Amino acid sequence: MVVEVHLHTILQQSSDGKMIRLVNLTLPSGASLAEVLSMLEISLPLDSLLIVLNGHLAELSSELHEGDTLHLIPALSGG
Amino acid sequence: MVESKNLTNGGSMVWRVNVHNQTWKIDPLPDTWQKLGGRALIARILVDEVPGMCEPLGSYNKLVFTPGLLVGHMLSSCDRISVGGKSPLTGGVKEANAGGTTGLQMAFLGIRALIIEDKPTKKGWWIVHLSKEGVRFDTADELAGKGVYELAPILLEHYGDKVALALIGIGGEMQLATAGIQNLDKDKIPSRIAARGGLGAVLGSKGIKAIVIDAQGCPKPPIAYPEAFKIAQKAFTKALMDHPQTAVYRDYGTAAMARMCDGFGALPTRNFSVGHFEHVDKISGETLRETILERDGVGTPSHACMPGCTIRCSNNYADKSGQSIVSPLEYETIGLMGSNLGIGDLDIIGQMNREVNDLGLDSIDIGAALGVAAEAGLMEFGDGPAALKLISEIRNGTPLGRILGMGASVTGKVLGIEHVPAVKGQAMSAYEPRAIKGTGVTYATSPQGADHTSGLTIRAKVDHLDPKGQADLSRTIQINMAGYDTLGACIFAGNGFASAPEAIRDLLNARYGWDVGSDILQVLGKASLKLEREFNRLAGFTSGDDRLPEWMTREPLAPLNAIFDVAEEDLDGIYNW
Repeated sequence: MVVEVHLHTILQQSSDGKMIRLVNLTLPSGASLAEVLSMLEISLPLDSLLIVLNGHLAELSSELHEGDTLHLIPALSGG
Repeated sequence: MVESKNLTNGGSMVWRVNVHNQTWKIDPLPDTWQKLGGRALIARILVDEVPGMCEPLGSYNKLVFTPGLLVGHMLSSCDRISVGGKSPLTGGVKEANAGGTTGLQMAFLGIRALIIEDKPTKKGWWIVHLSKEGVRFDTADELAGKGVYELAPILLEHYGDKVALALIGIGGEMQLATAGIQNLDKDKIPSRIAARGGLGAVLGSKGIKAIVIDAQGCPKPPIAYPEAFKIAQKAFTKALMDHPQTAVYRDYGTAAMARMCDGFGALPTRNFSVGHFEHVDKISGETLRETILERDGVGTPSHACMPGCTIRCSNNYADKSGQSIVSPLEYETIGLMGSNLGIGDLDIIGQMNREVNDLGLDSIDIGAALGVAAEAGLMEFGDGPAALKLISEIRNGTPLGRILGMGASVTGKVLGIEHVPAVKGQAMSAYEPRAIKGTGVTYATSPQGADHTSGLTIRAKVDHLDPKGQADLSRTIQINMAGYDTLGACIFAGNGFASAPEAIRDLLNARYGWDVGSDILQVLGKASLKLEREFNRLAGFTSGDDRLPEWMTREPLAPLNAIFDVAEEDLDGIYNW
């Protein structure tokens, strides 16, 4: 399955001198959010990370499905 | 008159300026004001001295400037000035605060509260000059009609570049209900605005074009226990610097909220009709940073608005030739003048921001008014030049411009639009309350009207779409925010204080020789909210005013199809603590 992952601010990934903020990840069926963090080598402490799955705050154990939209956001308090 | 050697008195004096007689006096703080500053002191003064039912632009309203309790020591992110009075926008209590240098210089002059009273007997414009010699009125008729970007250098040339300024633009002169009061940042740019609620109109109603604050020759504000203060300051600064959010704000600024809000389906788009903007990437903090860095010139993605701030979340946004368009370009403006108008172009948004800054207007309420105007057909969503043309109507003082300048609520009433995103007459900030329901509770119940700085809940790890528990969350954050506004602390200083919670107690006890407890932030916050509620009650507010617009309770917001469904009893119980 393919999941759309939006990487925010300091979690953007560098590739060929450009910052990548949208990744389409191919994952095994039933993969969890924890596996996504591992694949993307995201080490930000969980209390500083907001994981938003299809608009809802999600847990690490949440199961992913084909076509899901995921935002990985270093937490901010507002503007 | 008071001799100059007695003016400062340990930062505990009340300066009263009467614009009717052009007289002034300096008094000690009354006992009940001693442990208040900033937002809470404004509420105290309004309850004590301003009739609740008075006309906001009339002679009985007072305009108050008060540095927060921790202002004056270059404590990182803690030198904000609070400005307040009865709001011509909401008809209720109003406190708006700003960074820059006004708070610092007032604290050096020993001012805990500057209270501007009454109205002039005849038309004309004045500069009020504050210094260790006291107060002076200088005529300023020749400065009328000038925007703040032209006016500030003239004043700095005349009064010297060491002074701080609080000034109004044409919007304040016209007494528009969205007019704010601009203050200089540390680089002398007059863009740190106490924006919300029309306080610039109140200053304009008193015939004052600018206040010059000259603290040269004044001693630093006293500290009762300097060593203890230094220890607490060090703990706070370290906690702030170590906090993960500090680095994000430094590199991406508040604009980083654009994609975050969009991810929650909460980015106001096309007059709050949808929570996702298809061009969010173009107006994001990430694009803002990349654009600034790839352009030569004066642009910078990191900038401190106050001396001594270690977060540096501000910026200077330059055009392709490297010339500054505006400094700063912040998330709320990007949300209200970008996605809310369907505009996905930071250069256009920056130009709009500069224009409303120059007019001295609140970019949130003007952005919301333009969104309402777009729904009414006065411009197409996405048409940046048309939006700029509507702003020029305000500058030209046309009837349409004056309507827009009165804010989203008046604009909606005049144009017959139900979809007005406002509470108590004040436009919502750039967080859709149907998708971030705790913030919706804040918008509904804050005595200040819809305002994210009164209690934004988006950081909390809760299901923002579940109506249950949102009032409890909002209550906690509203109390803390009112506390920070009383200290003169930036909302982001709260990250440091959250990691070093004893620092607030220790700093206050060291600064003033007090013996306050660890709960002082909540004590101050509750005191502030209680007084604000009391002033609003005296001004005629009821629980019926503590509601979101009806349409938000019945029209689902795409893409999450959320309505605002927090129970009314939860809203009515918000101040039961």
